[in-house]
Amino acid sequence: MAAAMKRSGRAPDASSKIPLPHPDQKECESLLVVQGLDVVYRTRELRLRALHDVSFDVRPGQIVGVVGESGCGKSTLSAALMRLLPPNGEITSGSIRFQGRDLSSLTPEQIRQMRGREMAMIFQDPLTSLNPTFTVGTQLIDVQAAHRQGHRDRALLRDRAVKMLTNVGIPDAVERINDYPHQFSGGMRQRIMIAMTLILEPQLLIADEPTSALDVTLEAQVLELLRRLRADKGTAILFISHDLGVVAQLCDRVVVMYAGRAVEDGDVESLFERPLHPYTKALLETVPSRERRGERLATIPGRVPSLSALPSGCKFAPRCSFVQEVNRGKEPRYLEVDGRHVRCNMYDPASGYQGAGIQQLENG
Amino acid sequence: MGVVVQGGGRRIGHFAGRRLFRDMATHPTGFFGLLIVVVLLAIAISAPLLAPYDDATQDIARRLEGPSSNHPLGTDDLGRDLLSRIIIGSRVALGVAIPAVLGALLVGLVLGMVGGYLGGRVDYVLLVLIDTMLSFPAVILALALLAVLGPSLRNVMLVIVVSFVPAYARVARALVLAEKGKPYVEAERSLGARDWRIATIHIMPNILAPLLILVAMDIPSAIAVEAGLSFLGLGVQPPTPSWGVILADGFERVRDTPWPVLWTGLALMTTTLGFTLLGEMLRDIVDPRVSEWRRWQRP
Amino acid sequence: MGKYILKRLGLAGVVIVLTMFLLGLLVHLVPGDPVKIILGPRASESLSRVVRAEMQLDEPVLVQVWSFVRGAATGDLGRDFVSQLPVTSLIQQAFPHTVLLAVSGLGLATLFGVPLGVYAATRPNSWIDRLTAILSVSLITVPPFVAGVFLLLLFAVELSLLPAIGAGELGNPLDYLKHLVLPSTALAITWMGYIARLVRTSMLEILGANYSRTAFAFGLPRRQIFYKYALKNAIIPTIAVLGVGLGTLIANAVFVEIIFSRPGLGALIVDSISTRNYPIVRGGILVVVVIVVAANLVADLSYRLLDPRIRFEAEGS
Repeated sequence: MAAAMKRSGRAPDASSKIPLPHPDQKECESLLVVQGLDVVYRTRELRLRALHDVSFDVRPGQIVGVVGESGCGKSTLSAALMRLLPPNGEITSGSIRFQGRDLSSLTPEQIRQMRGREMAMIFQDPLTSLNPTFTVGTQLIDVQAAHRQGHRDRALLRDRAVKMLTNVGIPDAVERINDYPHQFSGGMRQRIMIAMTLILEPQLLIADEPTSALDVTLEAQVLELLRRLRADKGTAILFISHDLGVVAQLCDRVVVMYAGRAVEDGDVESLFERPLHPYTKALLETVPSRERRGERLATIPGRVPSLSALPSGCKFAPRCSFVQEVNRGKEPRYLEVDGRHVRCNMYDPASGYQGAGIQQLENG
Repeated sequence: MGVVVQGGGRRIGHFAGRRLFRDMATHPTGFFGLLIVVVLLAIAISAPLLAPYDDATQDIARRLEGPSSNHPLGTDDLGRDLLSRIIIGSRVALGVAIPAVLGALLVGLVLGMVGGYLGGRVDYVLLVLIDTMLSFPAVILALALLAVLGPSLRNVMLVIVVSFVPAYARVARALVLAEKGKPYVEAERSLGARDWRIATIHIMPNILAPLLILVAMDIPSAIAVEAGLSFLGLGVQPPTPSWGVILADGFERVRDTPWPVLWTGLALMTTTLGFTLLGEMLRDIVDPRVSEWRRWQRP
Repeated sequence: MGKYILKRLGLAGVVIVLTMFLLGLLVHLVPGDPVKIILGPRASESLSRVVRAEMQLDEPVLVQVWSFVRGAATGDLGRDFVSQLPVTSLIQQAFPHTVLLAVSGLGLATLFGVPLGVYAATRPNSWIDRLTAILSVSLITVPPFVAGVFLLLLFAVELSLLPAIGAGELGNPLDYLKHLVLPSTALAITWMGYIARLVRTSMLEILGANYSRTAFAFGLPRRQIFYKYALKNAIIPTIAVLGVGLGTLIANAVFVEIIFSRPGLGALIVDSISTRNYPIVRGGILVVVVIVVAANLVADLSYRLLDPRIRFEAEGS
């Protein structure tokens, strides 16, 4: 599968990467460490667990992809990281450490300073992500001023904004900086968002499905901008997407999510070549490929469970081809296997799962 | 021709479901409004039985008194019991406002449907007329008409109908235009249904709900308009105890006693409050966009 | 945008002209002898003659209407029945008081309503938010003339703090202001409620929008997000709604003028109805309609100018 993706040119390109830290290096080197994160939404009638026991880390300069279908909790994750959960959402367990500091120990003012400057985020829908009643220039200048860059000299900030707009490929930036967002196309607005990010040079950029609303050409340009961001400034990127192909092109590591849980992670080659979790395997099989032309498109039977009606035990069990009785009882633990992590009873000797997991998966 | 086409009466059915009661329960202010309205209607209907005195009985010896055991709210400048007058006044208020607004609804609905459904020049002329009428504030229009018609209860009702028709016509027209484009209308037409049949049996039930909400919101305005006109002496004429009349009488003597003004004002405020809260609750329930905003808590 | 302005001006003009025709035609729309309609059943012979002459009732209907329209367009609204004074000058005297009242009422409402709405939006579901909600609903449901009467009762009669009658001297600003306080407050009360609620709702909607999320995500200070970015967006629909309600505001000024015995168009018109002085009624109503139409126009255009999406048509993307 991954071989096929490599051949079609949609494979990780080793030459664009900065040398990664050795995998053995300790956790305290990581830029972002998420540990056992639980997020709950409270509604009038229910408490919904949107995230449960999510753990992963991002090293400086790494591009980590977060993949999953709609409703798997990707957006909740990004909101939780930026401390932008809606009023009815709450982190009930676990920790987020960024640059070595526990985010829950920061004051609101410290969090505000962190946002944009250290940890930034770009969103899926560029058409509505910019304020329509202010010029692009004003917004770019205010963002810089908010982080005290340029010591209140707005002319200086304006110059930097113009330079950055040119940098991301907006033509005639000097004039267009006085235009309003609705006077730009969707693709250009996404670039303006990226310019807003570049201008602050954060250490970590969370990209929440930044290309889902764009066509393939624009998507390629945005991905290129992101790559440059990492190459030139060493910015780490958390790339959230449902598009496996894009993730394969761009990311160093991948975290797969299902029903609010992280079910597998690993570096991109291993994950795509030898998926451990049945869900990952099934996902990869659904990606259409030139090699299998003429065959029926594969799907995963069943539907993603709604958060208010999650099955007990393993959340993927109802749709899993390797399901056994034990899976309906106990939720699998997130264990380390081969330098990666996977949440599946197949790889947990203590779970009671019969049979050798890995071989079954490869043969099945 | 017995094909069941989706759309006819669907919204009304929706309306009367169990969901309605559940939504009402989560809307305490609206419920409070409903309570007020129900009590008010009860008072108005049973007014002659409820009022301790007749609205015209004068007791000059006891004029301009404050609250007492005989007259819980006091008496007015001719010695008439305020409580009774206000109770009977509720009949006038509702008796003018409700039929007038419903009348406006009827006329406006017909006009709006004619314009919206037929379209073309008829619609254009209608639109221009409606917009012109809407440029007149309701009260100004009322004044103009009353100047030539002369003040009376009947004329006030007429004036209210005329003032409110344009708004209903406009909304009805917009709703009809929206419905006209929906698939079920085309389906009906392709089955050979005649225009007026489509309009009345199929389209009308679907547009009724938002219009009824307008009615609920307009009744307090109509009450206020009637009271206001009567206050100015241009509406209901004394001695009929319209709240506006009582207020006017009381206002003349406000330096001697504040009670008539106070009680009547409170009556008016409570009435408007009740209907407004009720109308808002109905609007929140039926208008999905607003309902969704209230439910934004759900992920 | 320019085309729209022209269209809008044209529409306003049409409405005004149509109004002139309707007003000219009014007496004839009602069945019966126009003179009796105007003067009532017990009209004296001499007065009837005056009316006949003034309104040219012996001419064909169309001529009457046309001469009124033509006169109105040139500023001549006829003479009143009682004192034979030109209606236009009577209106000119009354006009400034009404405008001042309406403007100050609106100004007060905005001054208090907007901050209240913004504050409530910045602290949703707090006690102040709930208080604002209750307060605004209560304020909305008070008919302005009731508010006026209550205010007069409380401040003028019971407490004797402020004058209850008249408008004071225009030449003496302080005195005039003193006379303006209660009436404009009465007017403003209803509108304060509307504005507060409207601003609050708009602000909440805007704060939940994607672009506000962006503002928070990039670390803009809260104060800036609320009072610069969100508020500017919220003002636009507020002005739009205000524009629609201007007519009602001016109509309510009529009541308030009567209650506080202020000279003004409202008092003029209502008194003239009682005294059956028809030309003043007709002329006064026309002027009020012109004011309302003009105010609506200004509101409509200003919110369109404020919203960059409308002011600058989007370029092809």
